[in-house]
Amino acid sequence: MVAIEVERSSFSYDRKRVLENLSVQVDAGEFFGIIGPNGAGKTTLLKLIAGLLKLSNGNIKLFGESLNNIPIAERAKLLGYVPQENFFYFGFTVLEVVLFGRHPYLKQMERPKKSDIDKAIEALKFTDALELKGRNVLELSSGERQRVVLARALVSEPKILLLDEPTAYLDITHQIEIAKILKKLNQEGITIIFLSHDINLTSLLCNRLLLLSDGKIVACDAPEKIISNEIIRQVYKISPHIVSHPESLKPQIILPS
Amino acid sequence: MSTEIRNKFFKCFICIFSFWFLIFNFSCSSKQKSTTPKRVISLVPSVTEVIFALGKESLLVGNTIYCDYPEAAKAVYKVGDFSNPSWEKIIRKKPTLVFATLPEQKNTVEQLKKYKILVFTSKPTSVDSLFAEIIEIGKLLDANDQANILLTVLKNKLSEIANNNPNIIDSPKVYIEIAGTPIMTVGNLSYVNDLVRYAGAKNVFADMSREYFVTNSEELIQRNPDIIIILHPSVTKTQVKKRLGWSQITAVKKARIYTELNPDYFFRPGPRFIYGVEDLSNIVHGVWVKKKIE
Amino acid sequence: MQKSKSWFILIILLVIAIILSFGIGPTGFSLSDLTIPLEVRLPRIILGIFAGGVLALVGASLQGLLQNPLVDPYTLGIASGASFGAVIGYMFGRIGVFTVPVFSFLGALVTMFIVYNLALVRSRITKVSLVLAGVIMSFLFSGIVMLLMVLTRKPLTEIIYLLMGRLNVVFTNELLISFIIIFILSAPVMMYLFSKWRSLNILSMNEEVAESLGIDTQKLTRNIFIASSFLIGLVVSFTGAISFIGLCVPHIIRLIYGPDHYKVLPLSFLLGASLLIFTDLVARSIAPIELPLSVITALFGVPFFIYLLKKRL
Repeated sequence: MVAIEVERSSFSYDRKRVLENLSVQVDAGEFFGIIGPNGAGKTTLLKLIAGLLKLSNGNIKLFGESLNNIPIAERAKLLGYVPQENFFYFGFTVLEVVLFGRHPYLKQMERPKKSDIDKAIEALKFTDALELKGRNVLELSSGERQRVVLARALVSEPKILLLDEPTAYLDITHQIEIAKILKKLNQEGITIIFLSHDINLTSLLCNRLLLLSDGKIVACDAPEKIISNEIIRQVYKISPHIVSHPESLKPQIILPS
Repeated sequence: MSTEIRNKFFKCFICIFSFWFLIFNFSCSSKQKSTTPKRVISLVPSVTEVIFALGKESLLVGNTIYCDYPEAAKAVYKVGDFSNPSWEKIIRKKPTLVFATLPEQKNTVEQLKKYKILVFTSKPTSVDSLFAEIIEIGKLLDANDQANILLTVLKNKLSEIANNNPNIIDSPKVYIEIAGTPIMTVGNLSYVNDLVRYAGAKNVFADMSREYFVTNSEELIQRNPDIIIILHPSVTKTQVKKRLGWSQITAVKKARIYTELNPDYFFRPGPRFIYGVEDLSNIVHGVWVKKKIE
Repeated sequence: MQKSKSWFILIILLVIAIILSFGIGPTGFSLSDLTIPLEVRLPRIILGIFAGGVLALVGASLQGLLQNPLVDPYTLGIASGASFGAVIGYMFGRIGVFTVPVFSFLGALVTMFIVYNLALVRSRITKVSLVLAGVIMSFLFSGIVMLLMVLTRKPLTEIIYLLMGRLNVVFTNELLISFIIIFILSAPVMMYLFSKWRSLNILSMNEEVAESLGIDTQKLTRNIFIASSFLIGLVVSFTGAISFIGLCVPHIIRLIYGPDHYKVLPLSFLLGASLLIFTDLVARSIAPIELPLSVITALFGVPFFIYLLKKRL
């Protein structure tokens, strides 16, 4: 089943063309990575899929249904979006923040019910953040905050998770933590779109990678096929060493000295 | 230089210096003893009225756009409005004497003093101080006789009013409303308060040592005036009657609410105050007949 | 703090304020003759509940919407437009008790329209553009009002007091009835603001996250702006601009009860109403002179803000 279908889509900010005639398909249950140099249009593509930006041309379909035709409340149940920077203005508790994710399921004046709270607790357990539940979000470290935000995205029971650089500000320990959680989620059937600058991590986690450059697709294939000397040199203009990961045999980049 | 030439030079210098010294003194003293200033500007509508009443309008080279009485005052060159007269226009007319008021015209007064132009500040807070001012103005304009005559006329009129309307034992209580939103009235430091006294009545707020202030319905209801005088155009008599809680007030019960008085008679401390006192006195004594307002 | 306890305390506070305000006054209080309290003090109390409650409610909503602690109901320019309308009505309008309120409200509506359109950038509203537009209009209308004050022939003092906040509106029967009808009709608008509590909560994270959760942020911003402007326009038409309630009360509530708008919005309403009625009592205490309300609220507000600064730092 095709989860996401991007058909000949383009997008411009004012006159600047950011994405050019893009077409890509993501199957349900895939762990799909999007990589590319700065300014390639990765975040823009993610936001377009999330419905946060309007296409200039083309069409995006989720599970066969055109994005424009999906009412905003339904779309919220389908997608979980985690932006790169998560900022909080008010000092809500972690549990309250995670419960925000239940918004698509609650009516106007309804307070979260016991079942919602249970789901929130489950989500926190899943992201290994349960002990944080009473803490003030403003007081969390970035690793802790990332897990909380992920829990918030999960609690809306999405079929597709869109993550923009989820490990950007994390140390190695936390990176591995998040990676494990995402792997678990993917195994439960959730389609994951994973944006990252970390080529090695995406290589380890993803079934397929989309390499974008200047708003166009350079390649879309398994990591082994994409992470090759010619392609990396063409897009990133550097010549790294490419080795095989000792355990999983996926390609890993070692930076040139 | 030789001693001879130096002596000559010295004598010359002393002569010239003495010459200028005498001239300077002469002109200074002539300023102090000055009789009639030739060019007068009035920044105060009430003073304009006094000037005309003294017959010295020929000296007037400028006044404000609000100086509209008598009719001829409208034709005088306008130097601007009341709160912010145009300095340029004032200076252009080269005045030797300017009538202003404080505190509204503080800036202008300071400027005038800096330029050493003679300023007279007018701010009568009572009928007596108004009379004193009229005398002062008369002196400045070399119109002493006229000032005395004016004073006599006004004082006679006051006596006439008092005679026509003999004092009531309990002076009726009057409420003067000078604004409607919010409601404002006058205290005993206000000139208007004095007019009420001369009219044979008592301001319900005469115990307040203020010029004017904001008050509320309940205070007024408690003081229960016999007469209500509205000196602003924002309400009608019917609306005053309908004010919630006011139906308890004697003035409302007896329908003694008056909105037809000319505010200028009360707010302009000039010769026409006498009409204000007269109207008020007639109202107080129940003999007032609604006149057409001029 | 427990939810039920918080409501209870604030409701009691409001009831005490009402009782005190009903019973205290220069003509005293006796159960046999309730005309003065009913005819003179009660309208004032009702006005106080409406004004204080709405000011605090709108202040809380806007602070949540714009994520800015310095925003008050007047930041978006509505009060200056209402003042402008009031001065125009005072200077040129027909004689009558309705003139100033009607013109004032029209001024507020016009300002709302202008500010909204001014703030549109590529047919979108941003927090920054909205505040900027509001500030610009405030400056513009203040300037015009000052110009009118200079040009007017009417006594300046009345205009100055007209623009200050007050609860001592002198009601006639018709004005009072109109006011009560307006109060009742604006209840749905107030309910709308109350109902947006969760959206305001969620909006305090990224705007994008809020959108991804199904909140149309543009529509929300526009609707809250219109609702706020409408309510503030109504209040300022009757009472002039009373300061500090809209700014301080939401902060006080958040400090004690936390940031959840489910509580902050209605509790702000209650506290705003009580506070304004208490302030009014103080304003009436230097009888018979009425002190301008904003002076007293400022006296409360300044020490409070110093405290807030110290606590945050």
